[in-house]
Amino acid sequence: MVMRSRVGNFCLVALLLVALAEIVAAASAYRSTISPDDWSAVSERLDRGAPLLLATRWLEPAARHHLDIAREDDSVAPHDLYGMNRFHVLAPRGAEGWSHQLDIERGALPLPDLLSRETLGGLALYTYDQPDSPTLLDDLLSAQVDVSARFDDRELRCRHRRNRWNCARSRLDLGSLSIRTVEVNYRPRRCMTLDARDGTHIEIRLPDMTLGDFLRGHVGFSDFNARLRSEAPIAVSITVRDTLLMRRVFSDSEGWSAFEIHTEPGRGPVTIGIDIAVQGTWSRRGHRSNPPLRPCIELRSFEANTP
Amino acid sequence: MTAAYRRWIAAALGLLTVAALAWGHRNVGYVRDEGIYFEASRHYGTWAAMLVREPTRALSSKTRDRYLRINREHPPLMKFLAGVSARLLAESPDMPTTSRIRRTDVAQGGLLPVMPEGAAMRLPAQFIAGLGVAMLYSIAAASGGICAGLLAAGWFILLPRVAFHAGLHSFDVPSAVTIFAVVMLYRRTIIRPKWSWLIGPLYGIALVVKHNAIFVAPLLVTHYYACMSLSRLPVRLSPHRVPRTRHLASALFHWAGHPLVALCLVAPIVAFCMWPWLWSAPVERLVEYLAFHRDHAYYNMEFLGHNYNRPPLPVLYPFVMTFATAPLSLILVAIAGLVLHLRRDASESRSTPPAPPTTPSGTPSPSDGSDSRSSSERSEHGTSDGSHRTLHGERRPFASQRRPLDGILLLTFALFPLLLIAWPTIPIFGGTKHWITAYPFLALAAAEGWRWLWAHPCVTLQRAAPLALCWVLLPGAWGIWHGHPNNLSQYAPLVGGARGAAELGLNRGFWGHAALGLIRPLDATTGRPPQPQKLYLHDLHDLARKQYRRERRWPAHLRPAKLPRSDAALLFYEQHMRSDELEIWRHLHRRPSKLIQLDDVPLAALYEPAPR
Repeated sequence: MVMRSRVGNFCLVALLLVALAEIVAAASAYRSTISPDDWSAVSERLDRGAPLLLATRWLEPAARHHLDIAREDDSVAPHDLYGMNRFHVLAPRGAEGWSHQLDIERGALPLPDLLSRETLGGLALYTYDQPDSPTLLDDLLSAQVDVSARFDDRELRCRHRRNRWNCARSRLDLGSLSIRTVEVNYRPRRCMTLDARDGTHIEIRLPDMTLGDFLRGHVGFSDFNARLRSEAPIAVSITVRDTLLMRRVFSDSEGWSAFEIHTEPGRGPVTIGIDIAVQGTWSRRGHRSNPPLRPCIELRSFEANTP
Repeated sequence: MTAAYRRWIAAALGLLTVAALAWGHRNVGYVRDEGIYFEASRHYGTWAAMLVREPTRALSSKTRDRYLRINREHPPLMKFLAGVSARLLAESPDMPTTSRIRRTDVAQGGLLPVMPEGAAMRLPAQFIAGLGVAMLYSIAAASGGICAGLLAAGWFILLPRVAFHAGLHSFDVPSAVTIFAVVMLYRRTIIRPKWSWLIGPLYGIALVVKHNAIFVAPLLVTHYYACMSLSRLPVRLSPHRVPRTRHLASALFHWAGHPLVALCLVAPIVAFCMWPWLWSAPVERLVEYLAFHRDHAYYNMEFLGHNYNRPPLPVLYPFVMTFATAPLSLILVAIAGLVLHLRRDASESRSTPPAPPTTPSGTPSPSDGSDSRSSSERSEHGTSDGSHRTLHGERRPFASQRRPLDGILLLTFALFPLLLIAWPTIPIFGGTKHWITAYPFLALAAAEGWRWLWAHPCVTLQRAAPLALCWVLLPGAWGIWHGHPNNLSQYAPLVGGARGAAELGLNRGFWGHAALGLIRPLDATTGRPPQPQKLYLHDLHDLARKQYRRERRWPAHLRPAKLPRSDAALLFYEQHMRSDELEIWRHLHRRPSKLIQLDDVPLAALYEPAPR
């Protein structure tokens, strides 16, 4: 009984202390901490032209609801941090502005300088500077491009209309390309999306791209929701001034996979070749042609900005 | 506390639970599965009504199959009850169902139309939840007193996730309650065989609530033989001691009353009788039913920032999610209770008394004493409330004299549902509701833990027990109050509530239920131009939308449409829904006009036409 009494008393006190901690935590957790005024305050402090990134994903819908800048391409679907001389990061109050995701987006760039940190009610606004960020020279998504598709020995030049290239003629339909914001690894990415049949080779040609010190791009696979992650990889090749500089296989498990190629500055043709082996997806019931495999690619040229 | 007094409190708690659920869940939107169950319940209710009016027609295989084919992948009991409840209590709907069943059959209101059809259909599940609360209180209070009873009842129903599911027209909480009832009756059967005739029918009922009950029989059989092997069963229940009787009926009755026979033979027969869909082709349809659950579709579930949509889920998933959704103090007291039970099992195994003698008929001999107590328990004194105290004044668990491995029994049923979900080859389910069947057993274990914590010689300290009880139950109750009607997205305070969970990358909800607050502003009567005409429903099931429509809660002008043809869209936030959000951006725009949030965390959004 004495033994029970001691252990029991200890356990009882411990239990009541845990409950007390929970009550205190509940007082903090079970309430809204962000008011509409906080969003207005953030809006007033944003620099025009500086993208707004979010330290945590759950803030995104509210940010897009309240802030115009949060709906722009650079904020919603940035390729990475390359070319961003200044950017904001919005976080809940008390949370760090810099996140693991931003570390991934940073790639090989040095850590940006934290210019300011402001607490605005339930939000915290961080402003970062990247003085050494490379300068963007050209971008696949805004450049003039020719697209052709080849299947067996038949080749088609794809017709361009707005943001879409249609690679079909009479009875031969090899697919299409379009510039869209798609989901890759649960994040929006703006890229050129391919929807092509099995065994098709797609060639995207930028006849006169402004080249700098390097090309940087990403390959990913969109429409995650519709499938399990077991799709066929694709082969991507980059040819600059008729010299093959990269040939690499990308799989969907790599997510938003980055690549870099060093180039000689100047202007010249760049060709992106994409080989799609098998369309469709695999599930535990075997292979299905639908939903289709949708690889997406973006490519930019940069000039290094060494201090 | 007398037994009658205890029963009155149990009944009051049960009714309070039912009232709170019935009232509170009017604001809880219809979840995806409910839409299907509503439609199925209308069919089942129609068939039940036909059975009363035209039994011959209703019992023909053609009619049975016609009415009971829908949603045959789940057992029928809750759908029958919901259908009958709607036929009794539902207000007249605004529009008939679109199903193939005759509209006149399913579109009419109830005999006493006092509530919307959806609320009426939810009522049976809410009653069963109330029954579960009453049972928990009654059983726990019998052994540990009022506070232990209240703790057990509160442990169960004051968890935000349990409170959410308890109010829905679904099978999870009813399944948890019926399984709990079966196990408690099994235990009672071991102590007092006179109740054994009931376990077969009760288990049969559990089997026609949800397939989770299938696992109960093997677990109980294992427990039974474990008790036997450790000589922890009263001899009179041993299968070797069945009396030789010349009367076949008497022998059958005796055998049917044996828990194992009842579980394995009587219950399936009862279940079969209660599931008319099986009658036409029992084997084929039973195989189809089992195959559906064996090859269940994989759900998507976010866990610590990763989306899982094929097995295996991390083994720790159900355990982490239990910790994340239930207050830690309640989990701790439940663990303490389990440990105490197991310790008692172990200590009593070391000092097992010889079995009491039996009469030739298998009934206890008069020398057993009125309660057939074992020698080690003769030092106990029965109390007026039905519980029992040792010489030291300690109450004994379960208010019983024999403890046939109670610790093992509770631990098995508290742990098995979590282990099942953690099993690497089990299809991805994910929702805490899938192991909700563990919670009544944890609640009962918690009552034992509580009893032990307060078995203190200091009377002054004991007076503080009710206050401490409120203290321990407060975090869960606060979570429910604050999270309502979005308790599917509520998390425990130590995780940081919904905000903390979102930060950790835990699921924010599923089933597209958080739609009510988004639909109301679309009502044309608000007169805010431009009014959308075609709405993309996203994860809101069209049958759930039809249910709103039947209850005049859906704007009459608003039609569902595929996204490319919509001028407004709903979106329910889950990690794997990201591509859907981007499709909405492509067809509409990127600004959600209205958000449903829980502590700043968005759960659902409405995209309306862009202002002109």
